[in-house]
Amino acid sequence: MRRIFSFLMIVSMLVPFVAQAQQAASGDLIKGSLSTIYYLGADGKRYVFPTEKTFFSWYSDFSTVKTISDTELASYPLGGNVTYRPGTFLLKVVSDPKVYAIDAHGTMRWVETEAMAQSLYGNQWAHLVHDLPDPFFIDYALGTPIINTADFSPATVTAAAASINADKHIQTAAPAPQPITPAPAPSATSTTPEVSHTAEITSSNNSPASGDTIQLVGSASPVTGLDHLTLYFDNSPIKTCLYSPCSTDLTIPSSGVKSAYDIRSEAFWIDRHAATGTSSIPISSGSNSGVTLTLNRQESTPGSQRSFDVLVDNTFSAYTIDIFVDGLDIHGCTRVQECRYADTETSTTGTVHTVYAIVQDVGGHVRTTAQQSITVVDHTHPLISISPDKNFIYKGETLGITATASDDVAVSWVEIWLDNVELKHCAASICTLTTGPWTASRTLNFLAKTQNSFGLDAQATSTSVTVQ
Amino acid sequence: MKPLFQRLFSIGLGIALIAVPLALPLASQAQTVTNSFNPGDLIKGSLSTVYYFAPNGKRLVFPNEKTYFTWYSDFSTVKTISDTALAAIPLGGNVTYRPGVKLVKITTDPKTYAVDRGGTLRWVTSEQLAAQLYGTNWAHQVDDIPDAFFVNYTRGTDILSVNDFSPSNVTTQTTTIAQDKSIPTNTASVNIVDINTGFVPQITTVKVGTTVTWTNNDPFNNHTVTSNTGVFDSGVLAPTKTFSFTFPTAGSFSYHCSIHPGMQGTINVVNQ
Repeated sequence: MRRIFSFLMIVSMLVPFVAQAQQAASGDLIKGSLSTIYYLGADGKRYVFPTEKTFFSWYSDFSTVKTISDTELASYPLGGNVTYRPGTFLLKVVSDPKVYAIDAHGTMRWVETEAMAQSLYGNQWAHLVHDLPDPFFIDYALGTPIINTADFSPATVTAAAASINADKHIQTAAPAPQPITPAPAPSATSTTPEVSHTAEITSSNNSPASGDTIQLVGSASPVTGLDHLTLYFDNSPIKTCLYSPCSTDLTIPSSGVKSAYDIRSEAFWIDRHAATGTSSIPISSGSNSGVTLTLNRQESTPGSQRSFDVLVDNTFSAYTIDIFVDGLDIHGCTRVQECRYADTETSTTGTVHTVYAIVQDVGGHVRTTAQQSITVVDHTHPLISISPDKNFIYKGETLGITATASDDVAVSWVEIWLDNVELKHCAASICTLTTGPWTASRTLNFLAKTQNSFGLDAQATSTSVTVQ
Repeated sequence: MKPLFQRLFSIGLGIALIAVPLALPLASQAQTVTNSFNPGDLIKGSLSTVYYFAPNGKRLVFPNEKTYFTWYSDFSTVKTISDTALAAIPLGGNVTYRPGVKLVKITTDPKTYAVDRGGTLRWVTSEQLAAQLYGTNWAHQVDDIPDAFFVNYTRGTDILSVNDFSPSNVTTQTTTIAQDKSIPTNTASVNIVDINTGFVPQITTVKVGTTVTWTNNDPFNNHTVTSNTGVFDSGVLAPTKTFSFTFPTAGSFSYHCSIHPGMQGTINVVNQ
C-alpha cells in the first residue's frame, strides 16, 4: 500500500509536467532536466542565454520557465545566443576599455565620454556597466559611436524591443515562401472556345540606374470582365487597378541594389480566369560617378614607390574596391570608402602600365574608373603645383603666389610666370611671390615652371584669380 | 574630457565572469612585455586570457581551454604585450576546434559531430562510422561544447561513409588557425592607435611578398606611415583610413609618422 501510494504521488506530479510539455510555444522560456534555460523563438529554434546577466536584462526572475522533456528540448535546434535587451545596461569587454550602449538587434555603440554616459544613463551609469566575456563579443554587431544624446535613447530602444523575437527579428518558421502566382485558369481543357487571357508589363526604361524613376505599365487582355490588375516590383505589390492599362511611377532603390529586378503584372477576371506577365529590368552599372582614382604620379622609376588612391564619395557605400594594373587585381579593400595602396615598381624602363579601379557597392552594382597610365622611365619629371592665396581680390589688393616642386632628385629651380613674363626665379623647390597691387579688373592665370637636376622640365597653371 | 576607461577599469575587474575564457596557469605567465609580435603569434596582456593574433590584424578568442589544446600543447610561445596595445587590437571572433582532432556534441542533443575545416560540424551518422574514423576509443574523444559556443560553428553535410571524411588528413592539412579560418596569410596588419601608444605591433616580422595594411584607429588625429628611407609613404591618413604596402624584398624597414615623429615602427621582411 505504501509503495503504491508513493508511486501515485510521482504520477500526480508528473501530470502537470506532461501537460506543460505540450504547451511550449514561441516566446516561452524552456528548460529540460538540466538547469540551462532557453528562449523558444518563433522559428522553432531555441536561443541560449550566454550569461545570467543577459537573462536578467530581459526577465526579472525564473517564474515563467517551463520544464519540458529532454526529447522535446532536443527537437528544437539551437538558433544562436540571446543578446542584452537594448538600452538596459552598458557593456564592455575585459580586454578593451571602451564602454558600449546596446542598441536594437544586438548592436553595440561606443559611448565615447563619461559625460555622454551620464546624460544617457544618469549619475549611477557606472553601476550599469557589465563586463561581457570576450567569447560573446562576436554575438554583437558594432554600430556607429554615439556622438550626441539625440543619437540614442535607452528608454525608447528598450520599449521597442518588447521581446527577444522582436529584437532578433525571429520570424515564424513558415514553409518556404511560395512564389505568388495566380490560380491557374480552370478551363485549360474546356470544350468551349476560349478567348486568350494575357497580361503584360513594360518599363519606361529598360536599363535604369539605381535612383532613377521609371514608369511601369501593366496591361491585361481582354479588358472586358477584368476584375483587377496588380503590378509587382521585386515580388512586392506596388499598384492595383480595376482597369487596364495600369501604370505607376517607381524609384529604383539606391541601397541594397540588385543587378536586376523582376517585374510582374497579375490580372484576374471575374470569370476566375487569371494571367501573369513577367519581365526583368537589368540595372545599369551607370558611370564611374562617385569614384576617383588618383595616382601619386604618372611616371615611375624601377624600384620606386608607385601609389594608388581610390576615393568613393558619399553617394553610395562601397563594398569592395579593387585596383588593377595591367588587368591584374593587385590590391583589394573591403567595406571602406577609400582604398590606398602602394607598391614598388618592378618593370623596366619603357613599360607603360594601365591602371584602373573597380568599385562594387553593397548591392553588387559595379563602377569602373577610366584607365590611367604609369610610364616607367629612368628619370621622372618633377612634380609641380602652384596656388594663389585667394581666388578673388578687389582692385588695389595684392596677391600671394606659392609654387612648390618636388622630385626624386634635386629640383634645380622654380619660376613663376604671368602672361609669358617671368615674375620670379627661385633656386629652391618652394618659390613665393607677392604680386600687385592689381588696379584693373581682369583674370589672372599664373604659370609655374621647374627643372630637375637631370634637366627634365614640368609646368603647372594656377586656378584663375579674378580681380573685381 | 576624461576618457571613459580611466574610471571603469577598476570596476570591470570586480565583476565575475560566468563563462571564463581560456586563462593561463599563473606560474607559466611570461613577465616580459614586448612590443614586437607577428601575425600568427599567441598574445596576452596583464590578464591571463590568451588570444591568437591573426594576419587580418584582429585577435581571436579561445572560448575555452579545450579549444586551445586542440591547436597547442602548451603556453610556451605566448607573448605578453601591454594592456593598451592589447586593447587596441580589435576582437575578431572565436577560435574553433582544430579540424579532425576531436568529436564534439552539445549537452542537449545526442548527435555526435566531427569538426571539419572552418568550424564546420558534420554529423557522424553511426557508432560504427565513429569507430572506423576515430578508433574503438572514439567515445573518449568526444567533447561537450557549451551551448553558448555552438553558435561559432556551422553545420555541414553529414558523414555517411568513411570516404566522406579523413580526420588525420584534415588535421595535417590545417596547421594554423588563420588557415582554418581562411584568413589570407600573405597579409599583415598594423594598428595606428594614438600618439602615445603609436603603432601596434611596433615591430613585426613578415615574409617577402606580404601586404601590410595600416589602419588609423585614432579617432582624433591624422597620422602618416612614412618610411625612414623613402620606400613608402601613405600621405596623411585621416581617422579610419588605411594604407597598404607590399614588401617585395627582404630587409628591415623602419618608418614613422611624419606628423608625430615620436611614433615609430619597423617591419622586418624575411625570406620565408
